Amino acid sequence: MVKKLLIIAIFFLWITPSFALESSQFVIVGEDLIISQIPLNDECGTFTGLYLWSGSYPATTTNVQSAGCGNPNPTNEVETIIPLFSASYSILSETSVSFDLTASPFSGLSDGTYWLGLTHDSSTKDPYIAWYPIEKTGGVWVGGDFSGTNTRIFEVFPSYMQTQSTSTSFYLEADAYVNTEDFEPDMFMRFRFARQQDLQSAVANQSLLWTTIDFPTLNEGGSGSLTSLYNFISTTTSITSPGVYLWEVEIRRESTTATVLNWLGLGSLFNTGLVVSTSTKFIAGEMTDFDRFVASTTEVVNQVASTTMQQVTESCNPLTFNTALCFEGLFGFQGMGESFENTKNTLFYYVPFGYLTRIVDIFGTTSTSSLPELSYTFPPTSAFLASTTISFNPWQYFYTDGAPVKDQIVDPATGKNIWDIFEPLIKLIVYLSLVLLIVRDLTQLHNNDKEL
Amino acid sequence: MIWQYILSFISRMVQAVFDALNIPIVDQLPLGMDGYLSTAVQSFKAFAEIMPILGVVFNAFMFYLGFRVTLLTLRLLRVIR
Repeated sequence: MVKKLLIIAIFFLWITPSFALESSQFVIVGEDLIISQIPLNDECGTFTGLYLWSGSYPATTTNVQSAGCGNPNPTNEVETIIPLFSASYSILSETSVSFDLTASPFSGLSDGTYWLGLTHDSSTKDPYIAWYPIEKTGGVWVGGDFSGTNTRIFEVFPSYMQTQSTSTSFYLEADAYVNTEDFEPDMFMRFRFARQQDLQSAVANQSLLWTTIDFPTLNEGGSGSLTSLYNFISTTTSITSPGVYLWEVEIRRESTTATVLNWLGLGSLFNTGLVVSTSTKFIAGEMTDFDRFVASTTEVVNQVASTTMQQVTESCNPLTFNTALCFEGLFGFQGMGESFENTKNTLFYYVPFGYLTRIVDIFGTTSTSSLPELSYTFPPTSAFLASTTISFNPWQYFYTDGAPVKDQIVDPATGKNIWDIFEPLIKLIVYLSLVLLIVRDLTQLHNNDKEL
Repeated sequence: MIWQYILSFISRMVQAVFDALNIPIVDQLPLGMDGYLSTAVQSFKAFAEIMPILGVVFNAFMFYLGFRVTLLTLRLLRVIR
């Protein structure tokens, strides 16, 4: 039985078709930008355009130069798109071309980061075939062969705990870099997401709660297929239940090996299809109270763990056990002041405590306002100084050069002003009176006086 | 750590309940009192700069007020007689 299965597996491996690597490469060599192995579409409706964008991708980009469907004779040849791109160029081969970075439009650009890309659709610039970041620093273009860079998913949207309103067209995007040497035409991107609340309350198989979106491979073609180098893959999906969602982005391969292993039930064991993955969370719409509670308590645990867990793990470790420090770490009061402050900031601003907290805040403010002047405007009908305003600002006499006078008149011997000298005496009298008043209240001596 | 967690936990739970009940958060006092009180306090502090004794007396008064409120609360709750 095992032998038969092995033979079947080897047969499937043997018949796996080998596809030609069709991808784009952008390399800066000296003052030349070389684009090679460009996959071109031969239909005008989805004609390939060459774009140079400024700014960071994709926000606030500016199309500084383009070439596309306006070409009078669109074909799938590299040459047809080049004349619209006014930089001087030279054809290196059928599938590669070299641009002169010292010529227009490259020469006319200021220092900054730009994106050079190929796209099917000249209006929406989507779907992308490939994008390549180039940078001009001190008038010199830099960029290079990223073949040594690891294949990775470098950005996802929504990012960690970012909120997006629930919608039937909820936007998801993952930006990935696929190393040219890693790239295979059967690679594809997979989005998986599930609501955390559903997972936590699930009594059935949790895998059923995950929604999976598989994008096509380059073999299959179509929107969102992976190519080598930079990929910006997005889609919209229906997310109408608010809450915290777990989101996983994966780059996978649908190889025959994986298919066979999956068919044998061993796919999850070997997981051969997975190339690279990342996972994060996002918030859909307004969080439910349950989600808010879960998210906030999780945050508390993380916060506590980051501050005191280190001490606990070290001191309570059987190998390095320290009774006092372990006990202190677990039951000590470190961080309590901060916790009380957080409690005050979160709870005591609600009605009705909030009114008291606001009053305390107002009293706690350190800013001062200018003291009011005395002023009077005579009425227009007045026989004397009609409509004239006379004012008197008594406070000005308490200040000299912006500082109180009392601070400037000092005892030459000690350098102390009048308040510095008398402050201890005044405080003694006032606070002693206060203590006596409190003692009087506590002992209720005044009530006894009345009774007598 | 445990106390900190328990306090934060209770705080978050109460906060979730408050949010669920749509209890509003106070960012300023109603009926224009916020402006009046702010101006009064800030003017007083400006005045206390030139007459520091007022600050000392006011501090003592506020302390006594807090003491009296605490005392009355404890009596109301029958903690003390």
